[in-house]
Amino acid sequence: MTPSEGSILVGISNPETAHRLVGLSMALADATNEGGDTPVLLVHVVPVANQISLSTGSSSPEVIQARDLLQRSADAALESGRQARAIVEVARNVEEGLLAAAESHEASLILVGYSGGEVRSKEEERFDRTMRRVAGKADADVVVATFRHPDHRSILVPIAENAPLRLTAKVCRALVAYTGGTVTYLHVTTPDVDEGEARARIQARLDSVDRSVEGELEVITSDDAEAAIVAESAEHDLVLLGPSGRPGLLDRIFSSRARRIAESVTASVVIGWRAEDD
Amino acid sequence: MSEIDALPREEPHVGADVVEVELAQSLGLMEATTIGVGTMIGAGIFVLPGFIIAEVGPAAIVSLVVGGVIALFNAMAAAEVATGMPKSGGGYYFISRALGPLWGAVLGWGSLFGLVFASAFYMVGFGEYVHTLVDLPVWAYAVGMTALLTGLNLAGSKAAGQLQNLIVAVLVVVLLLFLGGGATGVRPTVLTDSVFAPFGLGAIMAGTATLFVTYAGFGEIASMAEEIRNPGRNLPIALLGSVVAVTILYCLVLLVCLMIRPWQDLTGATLVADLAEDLMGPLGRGAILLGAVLATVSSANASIMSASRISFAMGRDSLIWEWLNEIHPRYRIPHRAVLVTGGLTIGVILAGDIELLAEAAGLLHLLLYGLMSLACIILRGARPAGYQPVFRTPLFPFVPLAGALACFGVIFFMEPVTLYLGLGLIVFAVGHYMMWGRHRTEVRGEWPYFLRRGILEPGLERVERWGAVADEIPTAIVAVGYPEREQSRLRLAGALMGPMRGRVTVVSVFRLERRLDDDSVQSYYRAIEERRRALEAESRWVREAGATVRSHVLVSTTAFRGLVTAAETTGASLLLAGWPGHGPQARETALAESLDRHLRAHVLLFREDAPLPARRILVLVDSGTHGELGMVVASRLTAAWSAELTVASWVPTDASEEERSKVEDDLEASLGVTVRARVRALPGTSPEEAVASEADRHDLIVVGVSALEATSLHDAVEALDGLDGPSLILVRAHDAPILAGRPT
Repeated sequence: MTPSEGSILVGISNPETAHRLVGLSMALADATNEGGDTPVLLVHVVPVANQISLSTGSSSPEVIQARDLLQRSADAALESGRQARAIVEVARNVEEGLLAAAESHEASLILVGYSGGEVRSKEEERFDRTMRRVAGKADADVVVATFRHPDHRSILVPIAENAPLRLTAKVCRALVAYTGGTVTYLHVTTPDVDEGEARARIQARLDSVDRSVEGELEVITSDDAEAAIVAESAEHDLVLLGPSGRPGLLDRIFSSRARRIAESVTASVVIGWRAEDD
Repeated sequence: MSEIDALPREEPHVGADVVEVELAQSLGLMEATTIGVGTMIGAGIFVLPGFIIAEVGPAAIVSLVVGGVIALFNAMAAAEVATGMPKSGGGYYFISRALGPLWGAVLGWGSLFGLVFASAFYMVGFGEYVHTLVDLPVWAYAVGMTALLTGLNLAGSKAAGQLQNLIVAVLVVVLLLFLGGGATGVRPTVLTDSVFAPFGLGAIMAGTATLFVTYAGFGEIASMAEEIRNPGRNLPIALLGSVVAVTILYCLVLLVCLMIRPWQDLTGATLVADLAEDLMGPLGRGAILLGAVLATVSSANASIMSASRISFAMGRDSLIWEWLNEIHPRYRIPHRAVLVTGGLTIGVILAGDIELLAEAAGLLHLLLYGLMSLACIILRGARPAGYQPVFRTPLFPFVPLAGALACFGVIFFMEPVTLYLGLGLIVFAVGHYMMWGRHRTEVRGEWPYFLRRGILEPGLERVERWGAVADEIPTAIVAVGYPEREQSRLRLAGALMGPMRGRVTVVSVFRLERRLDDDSVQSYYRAIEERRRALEAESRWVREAGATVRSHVLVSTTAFRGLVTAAETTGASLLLAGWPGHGPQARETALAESLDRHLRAHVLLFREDAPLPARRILVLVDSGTHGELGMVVASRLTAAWSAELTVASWVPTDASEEERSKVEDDLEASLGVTVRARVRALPGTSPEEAVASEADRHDLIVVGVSALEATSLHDAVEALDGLDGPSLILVRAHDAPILAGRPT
């Protein structure tokens, strides 16, 4: 199922990365609808303890700080030529806040940042859990971005054999528009498959995608696709990991392959995922 | 498109302050119903049957049905008021808005202690059950678990909240198991052969009084109204549905109990577990034990959390000490409120027996729900602004009236000791209100409007016409930096707002850094507390002038945002702020421009050069709204300080004598008979030059923005910046009514 085109919800919480998320969301909005009328919502969730009512929590210092961050993020969006709506969502926890905002504003894509350091902290574990639940419950695509490089001139897009390409293509268009980088598609095939045939199949699939970004297709043979992607990523500034195409990975998407790759590479990583993909 | 390098680091765009604050509505119908059912299936159904049957006989089932009907009537009223004003605070909020702050205070304290008694009752019920496993004193279990729950709340644990659905599911399954087991083992003749109501009607009503605590939980749904999706639909269904479902479940459980053994043999706090063992052996007992433990612990935990929320709602209305509601800077928990609730619960556990606890909790909830039904009648009659309930109580006003009367009626069947306890609490609450809250709170009840609009219907049109202005009690915000240095601004606010008994919120904006570490958070909180104390002390200048004052330290990253937020929150019609220009220029420019664009209130900017009170006041007027407001301000100050007033208008230097005379005649005519003032046509090459020529003859000059031919506050400030000598008030009027109010 493909979500109907609604708004793009951007989770803004870190002042250090907010500008990048804003920029990427603007590009995603253009990639979604080139007419430019896809609404962008900048959302900061302020969690409030159960012992306090939400309305009481809405006047906390955290909300004031959130307003400031969102205000500056909205200003950044305005400077890039697009108006964004900024919302402080006061909720019991981040998951509830993101889901409530996504539902009430009919978001079809949720974009969040992720620190993705090599040493996993408790906060990152919590983030994983939160995003897993959000991805499982929201009727929206989920895109998680980890920015590690100042410039993104070279974008690596691994493509699995049966992976759905709708979201990958959209995020890829946005990344190219946002960074000005060039795209290299990567397909890792197993030794028992003919490289030439695999290349032809993947190329045909890429060609069939509406408005796909042009890029060189690289096909390599390896028993370990994950290691091959990690090795190949050393030559690139950003890796875009799209939906795997394997159903039932809800509980593992952020904790298994994509996360391992995200943790292993030095490049920036953008992960796109959809619960019931096309 | 190029990458955005970074967020803007300077002050935000003044034209794009579009940040909204939303409360996440994440509770759907199922979640809301689960909250109601989960809170109601507390200790009551596991602990009370033995006591009630012993007290009432088989007619205990009538006590249950009566309790259910009363709860249903009140749930309808609760649904109406909660869909009309879905705010947190539940019954306290609705009652204080309908019946005024005194009843709000009584019911606020009543709700707090009602929850304390309920928690204590649940915990003693928990102890009674666990005591059957390991023979330690019941109180030890109760106190231990209360301490543990308090600790979990202090640690900010969300485990209980996340487990709520699971707990409710387990409870329902356990009770259904009991009913299923009972269906195979019941003997209807046990019930039919007994005298149904051996102790008469009085006992039945007394039974209702004792077990009403089992229905108390439905109010929890109303208190969560702001978190419920589509509250217009989901809230009433959840409220009524949970009451009906729980009543049926309770009745079935009691019916099974009454058909297993003769009622004379049905006693004790663990009756349901005992019967389950009779029916299904040790497994049945184990299941009921599990259910009872889960029910009592989750209900007690919910009560401790709710008590904090009521305390906050009262604090917001200045009806309880702010100290109590302080939030722990690190854990973001109202630690004092949680500790006090936990401490009181432990105290009550040690002091009372289980029936008294249940009855005391029931009394306070009966009072709460009875008054909530009255609030429903009052609010519908008063029709306050913004009150548009989606759900409307059927058979109005019979249903809420019957609900209220039934609640109050049942109270009289309670034990005298319970009534004395309730009376003592009311006396305490009234005393606390008279000594503490009465002078601080701004809450006004809607009951006078109910009397006028709901009862005196024939005079409605006339009252509406004249009342509209008189009811609009003016509200002003006074912004001060360091209160002790800015007494003049406060005296000015007193002179402006005091004579008309206006409401003044004195705000000190405390600038918050964008990122705080834990250490700086602590020092910030200390500094904020110091500022708050200074503000409260210096607010006397306004209070003594006759205005109602509330002082508030507002933490914000920018002064502009703080002021606009404060004005929006309080619905202020006027902002009195200091003269911009002393801080960094860019920031001050942004402030003036932002106030111009975003503030929906009149603005007075004050610069103190000469001391107040002023003796000679000059007001420069023009034909615009700014001039009118300037005239109102100047005449108010003139009256308050018995000053001399000069009303002036600028004329170009080359204006003829005739033209000047005409200007002065027009000014004279515009004064009417109520203002005594000299009039002057002031020549000059510009308005500011004309004003400057009078500077040494006056100690206060009031000028409207348009009188300076300026297009913005910022331009006007710049035009007057070079003027030395007198104090200045720059006036920018907004479309709102000018200081509408009732002069006294």
